[in-house]
Amino acid sequence: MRPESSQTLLSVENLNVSAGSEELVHGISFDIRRGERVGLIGESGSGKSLTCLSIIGLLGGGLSAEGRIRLAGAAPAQAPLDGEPQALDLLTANENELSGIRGNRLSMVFQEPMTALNPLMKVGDQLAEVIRIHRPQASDLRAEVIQLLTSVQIPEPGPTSRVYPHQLSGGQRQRVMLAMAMANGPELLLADEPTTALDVTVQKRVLELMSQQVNNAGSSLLFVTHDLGVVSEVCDRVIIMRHGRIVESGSIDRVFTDPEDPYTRALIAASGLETHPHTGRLLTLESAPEAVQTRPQAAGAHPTGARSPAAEPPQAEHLTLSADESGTVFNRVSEPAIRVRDLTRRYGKQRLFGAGRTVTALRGVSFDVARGQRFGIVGESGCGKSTLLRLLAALDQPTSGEIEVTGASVVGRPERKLRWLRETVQLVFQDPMGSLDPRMSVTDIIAEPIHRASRQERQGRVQQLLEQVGLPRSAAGKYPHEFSGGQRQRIAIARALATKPEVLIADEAVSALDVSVRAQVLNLLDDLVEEYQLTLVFVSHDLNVVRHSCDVVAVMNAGRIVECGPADQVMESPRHPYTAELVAAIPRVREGAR
Amino acid sequence: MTTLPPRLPLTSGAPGSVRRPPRRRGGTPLVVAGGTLVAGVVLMALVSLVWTPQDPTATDAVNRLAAPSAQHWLGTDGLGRDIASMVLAGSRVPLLVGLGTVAVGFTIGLPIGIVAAMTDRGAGMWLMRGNDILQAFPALLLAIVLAAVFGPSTLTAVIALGLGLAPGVARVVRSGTLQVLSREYSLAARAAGRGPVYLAVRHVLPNIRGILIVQASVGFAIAILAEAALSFLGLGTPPPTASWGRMLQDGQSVLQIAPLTVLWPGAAVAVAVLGFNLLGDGLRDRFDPRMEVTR
Repeated sequence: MRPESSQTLLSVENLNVSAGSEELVHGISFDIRRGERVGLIGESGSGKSLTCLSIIGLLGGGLSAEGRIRLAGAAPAQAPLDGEPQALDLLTANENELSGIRGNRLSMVFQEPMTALNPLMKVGDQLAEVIRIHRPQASDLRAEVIQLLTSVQIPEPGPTSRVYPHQLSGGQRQRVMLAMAMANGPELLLADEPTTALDVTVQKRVLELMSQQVNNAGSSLLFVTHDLGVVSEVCDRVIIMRHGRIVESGSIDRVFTDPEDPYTRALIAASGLETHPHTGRLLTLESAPEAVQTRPQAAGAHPTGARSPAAEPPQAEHLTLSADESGTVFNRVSEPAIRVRDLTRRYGKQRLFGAGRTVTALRGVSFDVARGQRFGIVGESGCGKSTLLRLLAALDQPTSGEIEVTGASVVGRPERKLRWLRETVQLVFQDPMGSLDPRMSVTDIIAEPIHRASRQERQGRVQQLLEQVGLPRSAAGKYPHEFSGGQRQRIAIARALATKPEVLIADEAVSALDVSVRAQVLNLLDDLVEEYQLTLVFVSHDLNVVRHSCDVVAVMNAGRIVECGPADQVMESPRHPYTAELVAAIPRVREGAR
Repeated sequence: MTTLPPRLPLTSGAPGSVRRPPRRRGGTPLVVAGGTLVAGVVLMALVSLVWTPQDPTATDAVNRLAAPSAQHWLGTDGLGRDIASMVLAGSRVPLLVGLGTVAVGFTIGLPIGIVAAMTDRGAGMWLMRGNDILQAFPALLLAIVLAAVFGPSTLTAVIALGLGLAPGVARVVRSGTLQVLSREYSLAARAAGRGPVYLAVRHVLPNIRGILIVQASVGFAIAILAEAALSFLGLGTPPPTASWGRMLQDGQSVLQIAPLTVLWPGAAVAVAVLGFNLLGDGLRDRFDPRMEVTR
C-alpha cells in the first residue's frame, strides 16, 4: 500500500439521493484521498451507480441529491496542506462550474462503450474535442490524439483515429473511452462497471491498462462494480454498499480477509461460489453468515460442487482439438443422450459469383453428452455457443452435420415430427425479463409447454412447479414485472420443467443475476437436476460457475470445441493455450483473502 | 441509471430498489384533448339518431339561405334545409366510414403483416412486395374507379379507403411482429412446441396492441378526411343522406352570398380529424417503444 496521504481529494458527506418521495441512497459519507483507488461494490439496487453519478453531477431527471460532495481545490502541488482554498461543493455548483470540471478534473468511463461514444463522429475527432474543450490553447491536437491512443495500446493509432466507433471491437471502444477520460489528466477517474460488457480475456487487458494509466497520471479512482474479483485487481480500498447504505469499508486486504459485516461475508462467499462445509450447497445470503463462521480455515481455495456419488457417470476423457483441427469427438460415450457429429452452421448465402458474405458460426463440432451428465460449454461472445444451443433444441437447422437426441435425429425434420423433442428438450435463457412475455400471467407462462390438458390439470401442475422452484402459490396470478430477476429466472425454470423434460439446456442462465441470487438459483438448478434426473447442458462465459455446476466442460473458441474434459481437470491443468488464457483471465478475489 | 446486471433493475427483496421509469398514465394532455373532441363527434352522431332540431332532409323553398334564428340555429342552406340538423346528422357517415375503413384495413393488413413476418424469407418477401404494389396505388383514385364501376356509395368508399389503409397496417404490424419474434419468450414458446397460430395470438397480438391502437386512430382520421373529399366530389354517400363533404360541395355554389353554409361542416370535419390525430399522437407517445427516449 502507498503511504497514507492526508490530502483528501473528494469528500462525500451525508449524501441522500431520492426519486420523488422515495429515498434510494441514505446519507452515506466517505472520502477519497489523492492517488487512492477506491472500489464501490454493491449488487443491483444498492445505490452505487447513483452515488457515482451524483459525484459527477449527471443524475438523471426525477432524481435529486442532497448532502455535500466537496472536491478539494485544484493542483495538489500548490495547495497548502492546512487550508483548501477553493474547495467546491459539487452538488451546489452551477452547470458552468461543473462543465469546467467534468472531463478535466473529474472524468468518467461508462459501462457500455458503444452508447457512450458518438456513433457519427470519428474516434480521433472525439478525442480531440475533449482536449480542445478544456485546453483551447493546446497545439498539435493530432499528435496528442495519436499519443493517447498509443498509450491505451490501440494498434495502429493513426488509422484507428480515423474510424467510427462501430468499426472497433468492444474492448477497443472501452480503451478509447479510457483514453478520452484520461486525456486531460483527471484528478479523479470514475468508472461505472467499465468492463462488465466485455469478455474476460479482454476485461483483463482493459483493467491492467486502467491501473497503469491511473498510476501514471497520479489520479484517484472510484471504481463501481458488482464483481469482487475485478475490484481486487485494481483497488486499494473498498466500500460495500447495500440498499443505499454503506455496510462496510476498509482496505481491501482487511475487508476481504476479515469482513466484519455479515453481508460482506455472505457476498464474498457467494461470489467465490463457496459451498457449505457440511451440505455441499452453495452459500447464499441466508446460509452464509453462520457457515462461514464455522468454516475451517483450511477449506479449499476453490469449491468443487458436491454431488451425490450414486449417479456419477463414467469419468470423461480429457482431450484437446487435434492438430489438423478436425475429427475429434469429445466426451465420447456409448448411448449418449445427445450425439453431435461434424456440426457446421453457416449464416448468410453464398451468392452466384461469390458476392455474398457468409459467417461460419460452427465449424465441424462433434461431441456426446451422456445421460444424466452435466455438460458445460464455456466460451466468449461470438464463439458459437448460442448457435450450438439453438441447433440442439432444433430451433434452427444446421448447414451440415448430425444431431441425435435420445437416439433420434433432429436434423431436417419438419416441426410436426419434432413434437417429442419439444417435450424432451427445454431451455432456460439468460435474460429473465426477455424470456417471459410481459403480457402473460405466470400461470400461462409456466403452462405454455403443456398441451392438451384440462384447466384443472394445468393449474395443479403450475402450483406444483411453483412450489418446486420456491415461489409462493400466490405468484400464479401475477405478471412478470412484479418479480425480481432471481424470481423471474425461477419462473423460467418452472416453465422449462413443465413437461418433465429429459434434457435441460441453460443458456447463461445465471449471468444476469446478482451473485447472492446466483447462488440460490444454482442451488435450485442442482436440486431439480437431481430430482428430475435431467441431462444438463449448461452454457456460460463464467468458468467458475461451470466448474461448480458441471461434470464435464467443453471450451469453445471460434466455432470449435478446443478442449473438453472433467471440469476440475480442465480448470486446473488446461492443455489448450486458449483455455489457459481463459483460466488466467478470471478475476480472482485477492489471494491473501483466502 | 442502470446498475448491474444490465437488464435487471430489481433485486430480490431489496426495498427501495424498485425503480421504473415514471409511468405515463392515460391523462396526458394530448390524449385528453383528442379524446374530448372525438367523444364530442361521437355524441353528435348518437344524438342525431334520436333527435335533430329539424328534419335534416326537409327542404323549405321560402327559407332558403336564412340567417341563424330560433328555428334554424345555424341558418339554412340553398335548398332551405336546416344546417344545424345536417351537421349533426352528417356526422354519422364519416364515423361509419372511419369504422368501416379501419375494419377493412385491419382485416387485410393485420394477417398480411403477421404472416409476412412469420414465414421464412422467400414467401414473406413476396407478400411484402405485393403489399408495396397495393401501397403504390392511390386510395382516392381507387375510390373513384370503384365509384365509376359500382356507382357512388358509402360501401365503395369504405372498401376503397380500407384497401388504401391496409398496406400501411401490414408494414407496421410486420415490424412489430418481427420484434416480438426476436424476443426470447417467442423462442421459448417454439421450444415448448407451440405453433405459429398460438404464437400470433398469445404473444404477438398482445404485445403489438399499442401500435395497433395508434394505427386505428390515425386510420380513422385519414378516413374521415377522405370521405369528406369523396363526398365533395360526389363519389361518396349519395343524397339525400346528410354528409359533411356534400354540404361543402352544396355550399360552394353560394359561397359568395352565404359563407356560413360551408363554415359549419368545414369546422366539423376539422374538429373530427384533429380529434383523432391528437388521440393517435397521444397514444403513440404512450405505446410506441421507439419513442421512449426519456429513460
